[in-house]
Amino acid sequence: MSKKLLIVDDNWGCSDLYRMRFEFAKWEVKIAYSAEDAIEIFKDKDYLPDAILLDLMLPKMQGDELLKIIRKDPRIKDVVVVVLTALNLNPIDQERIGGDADDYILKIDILPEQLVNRVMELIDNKKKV
Amino acid sequence: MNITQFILIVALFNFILSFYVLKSNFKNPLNKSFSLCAFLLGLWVFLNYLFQRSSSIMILRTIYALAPFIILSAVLWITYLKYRQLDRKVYMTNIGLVAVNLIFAFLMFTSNKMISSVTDYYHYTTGYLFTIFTYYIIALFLGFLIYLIFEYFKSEQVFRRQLKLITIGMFAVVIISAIVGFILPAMGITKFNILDSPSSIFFVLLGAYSIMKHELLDIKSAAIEVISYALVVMMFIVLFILDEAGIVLKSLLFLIILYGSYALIKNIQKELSSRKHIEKLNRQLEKDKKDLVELDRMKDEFLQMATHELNTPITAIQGRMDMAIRENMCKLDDEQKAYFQPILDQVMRLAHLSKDVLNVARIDQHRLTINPIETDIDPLISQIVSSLEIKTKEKGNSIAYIPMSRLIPKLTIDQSKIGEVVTNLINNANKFTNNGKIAVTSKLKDDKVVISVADTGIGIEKEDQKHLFEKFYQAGRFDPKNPQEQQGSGLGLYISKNIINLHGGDMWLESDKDKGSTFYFSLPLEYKEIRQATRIHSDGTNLRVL
Repeated sequence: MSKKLLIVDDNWGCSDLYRMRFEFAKWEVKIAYSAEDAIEIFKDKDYLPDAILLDLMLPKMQGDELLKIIRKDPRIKDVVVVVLTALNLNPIDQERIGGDADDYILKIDILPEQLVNRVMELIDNKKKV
Repeated sequence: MNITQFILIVALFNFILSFYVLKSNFKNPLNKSFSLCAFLLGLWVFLNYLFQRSSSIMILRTIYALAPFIILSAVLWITYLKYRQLDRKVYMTNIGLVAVNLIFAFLMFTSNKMISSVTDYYHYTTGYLFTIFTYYIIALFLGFLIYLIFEYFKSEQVFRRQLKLITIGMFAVVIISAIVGFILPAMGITKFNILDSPSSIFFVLLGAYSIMKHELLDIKSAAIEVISYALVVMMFIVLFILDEAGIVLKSLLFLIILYGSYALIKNIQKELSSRKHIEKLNRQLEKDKKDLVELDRMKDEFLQMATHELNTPITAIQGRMDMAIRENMCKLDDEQKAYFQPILDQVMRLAHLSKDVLNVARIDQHRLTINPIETDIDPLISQIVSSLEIKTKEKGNSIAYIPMSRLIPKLTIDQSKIGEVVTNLINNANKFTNNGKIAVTSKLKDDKVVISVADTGIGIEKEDQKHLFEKFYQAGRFDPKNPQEQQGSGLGLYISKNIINLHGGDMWLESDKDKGSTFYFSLPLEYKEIRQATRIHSDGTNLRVL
């Protein structure tokens, strides 16, 4: 069964790029262009993604707030969340804002193929734990 | 209370002033010279008092022997007041005059040719050497007056005003001395002769006031203290002792008290207005500081926002180009790949630049921070070397990692930042080496791990080596075989060195032109936090704004 990915990113250029690469790796991809859209998607009790790529700067509700909601929801709290942002924060702010995420990655630091591998690695690590 | 007691008070006043000025800053030559002058004057007045009581020949001889030293100390003080130091000419002149003074002092005590006998306070017998000595004193005194007037006309602003008061004080002494010492005795009135020495109080008082009024805070505070004590003493004398004194003495004391009170009040008023002015400036400074902090925050926010906006399209272009060319998802042929590869290279360079600019801004704002965690250094470097192997092979370079010969404890480092440094050094080595060797080595040296990246490339000129870690500096090295790879921002090594410094290590290089370069950096085995940050970083509200 193919793995499921939810991309929460308001930028089409990036979200489409990641969709394309993950689909190439046989993932099933959904895109939410805002935190509110993502919350709407989570309401579907049958949908449980294997991983979430979460942008920080979103139109209304911000990525870090959505992350808190995810971590509080018993149904989805264990999903691998990768904060994937163009916002180059210093390490202390990164830790403060993305500390609850499984990883914090700067978009320009990672190529699509590396991202797929990294997400797979994180899922495997989490399964081991 | 009689005149002799008044003289004693004047002597005491001089001693106290001398002591306080010296105590307030005994290292300052200006304080030392003023203190010496006031002390010698006090001693001179005191000896006059003693002589009046005992008429001892030794005391009289000491009084005369002391006189030229007092004049010299006054010269010294005026010189320090203006120049803060002695030039060689003044120094040598003073030394010469001190020698002459000592000769006269020696003769004064050993020869009867100076003062041979004393009958009472007003009558003593002198020899021919005393006449020469008197001329010498007059010459010295006139010399001092001329020096004072000369410096007065030569000077400007504050010093001119100071010298004006000192000169007035000096002339007051001269005039009083002339009246009580020469004019009145010529008219047959000798009882005021005793006021000759205490008249020096005008010189000391106006000198102290001139300093009080203008700058020199250490002397100023001492002088205020002394004047306050003097006023108390004066009031005590006027209220409890001075019953039978003449109107002249009473008037004189009244004038002194009046002057002292006036000086104090004026001084307090000045202090108050200065304080108000300082408080106003302080408030302005606080406001300016707040504005600057706000501006700094806005600049930081803008830069973060600008790089965020740049990073988004760069990510999209970089990702798609990588998928198209390297992963070959669009089934491009070699010609097409070769055509598009430079676009990928340039956009990747742009991605680096975007990160470098923000890092440099953080370094400049003392906000670059690291997130150190315990790390095995060998696997970290080994992994980086492996990941760059394909890239180096493309240029015909071999790359090898030579790890430490023995196990070392984990280092506390920021993995990602140290990774950036190692990657940057290897990329630089690869950039300037063709069909050569790149060797990455880590060694334990004392309490540090030293990591080196050596290449057999084109090397770096000696002149460039000095500036290589400076911001935006780009060595003028150019390899015509790879023109497309020669570009750089001149920021990589600057950032790397700062990252290493934040870990408590250092970065340096050795290089020979045409033979290759070796870049080293050290990391301490025991991590101690080094705070580059002097300001509190953003509290998160920035992000909300962004």
